[in-house]
Amino acid sequence: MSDWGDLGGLGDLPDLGDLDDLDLEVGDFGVTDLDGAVDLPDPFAVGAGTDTGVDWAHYEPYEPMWLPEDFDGIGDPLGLAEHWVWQSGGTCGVVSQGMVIESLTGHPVDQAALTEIAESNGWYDPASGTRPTDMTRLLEMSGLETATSWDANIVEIGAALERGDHAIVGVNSDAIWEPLRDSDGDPVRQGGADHAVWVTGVDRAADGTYYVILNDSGQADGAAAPVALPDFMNAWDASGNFLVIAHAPGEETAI
Amino acid sequence: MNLDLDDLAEQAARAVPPRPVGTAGVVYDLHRRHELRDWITVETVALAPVPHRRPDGVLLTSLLVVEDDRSAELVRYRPAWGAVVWSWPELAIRDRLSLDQVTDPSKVERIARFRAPGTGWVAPVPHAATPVLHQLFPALDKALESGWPPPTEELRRLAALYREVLPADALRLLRVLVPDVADWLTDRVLDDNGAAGNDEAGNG
Repeated sequence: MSDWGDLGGLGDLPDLGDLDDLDLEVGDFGVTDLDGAVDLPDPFAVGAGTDTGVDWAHYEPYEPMWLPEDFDGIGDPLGLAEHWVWQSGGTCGVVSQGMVIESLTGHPVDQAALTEIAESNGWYDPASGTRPTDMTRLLEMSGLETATSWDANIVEIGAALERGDHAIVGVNSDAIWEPLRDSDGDPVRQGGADHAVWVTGVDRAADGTYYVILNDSGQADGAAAPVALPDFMNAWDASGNFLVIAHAPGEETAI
Repeated sequence: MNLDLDDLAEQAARAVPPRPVGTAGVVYDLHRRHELRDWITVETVALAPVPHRRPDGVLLTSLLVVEDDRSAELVRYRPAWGAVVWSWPELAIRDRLSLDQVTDPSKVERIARFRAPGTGWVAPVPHAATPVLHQLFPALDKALESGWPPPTEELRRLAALYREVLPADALRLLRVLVPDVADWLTDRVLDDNGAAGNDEAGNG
């Protein structure tokens, strides 16, 4: 395998305005040009199906049923929600670190300034984002101890939360933003990993369902956002179960 | 606090769905590949791979993009920053490249043309694209297992599916990077003779 070298950057991208302003619809992507060559299904239409054997009639959105006021789990999702911010563009790798830094150091973080620092140090590229190996740079620059692992498991996250440490994970965003379930109730894969989120808690609802609680900078309502455990595991698996643990030095527990 | 970590682990172990195989795995498991873990950014998405035949076998090439913004129906990606090439059927990684590192003078200018931010990098949101991808991947696997390239009619059908899920400039950029696909992975419908018609952008 040849490596074509380090990532390059495209520089700042111009402001293109809001996507809703574009004169484009999903149908503009060619299906109307096909003269019936392909019959694309509506995923949620009753009776819809494909020639791949996938029965889309049974792929249904899943809505979490978790009440913050009933939280009795591990972590502090309600308290940590105050550190949530909404990211700008594809900066989740930087912003997730920034939220954790603010929480563990107690110092307010200017996310735009943090993004500039990351970019100037080569830890963030506007064209390509943040490499996993750079997902601890800002944390460590802020004096925090970190540990990075792949193929991690939910118990490692739970144990970190019990210690008071903070956990950032890689996920497939659609699996947590728009989770789909098949006819057996199992999560449906919707893509590879493309996002980083801060896990702030794990809880078990009254009906026995486990929820992983996130500070998700990619959602407008991403503070203390609940994701049912199967959907979280589906989303996290896409990243190779990538996990960053951050710990404030001087505290009793260590990574 | 009423959480039993052992029970949590047991529930979590049951929750992971079966891993995708074939061409779907190329897209869905990009970040799981050990060879790419230090190189692929956490935000990177692999677009649907396109097959092309080489003297030593069939390869699959995927463009790498990062999402910039989305509405309810559409996602806007930043222009592709790189590409990964797999072998078929092993799905071994044969190459990876940052587009900024391409130095072939015959390609540099054309690559730059299709890496301009804008509507050329808009596509349906993954949630809406999933039904199409669940058609495309099995159709690709079938065509590859039968020996690439498939008959023109099947290429036409595959191209239609690609047009549904790939941004327009991704199609054009792929034709620059992988000239072998230029005669079928077109912006427009092939005519009865398999020609792409007047598609000047397709020639890069």
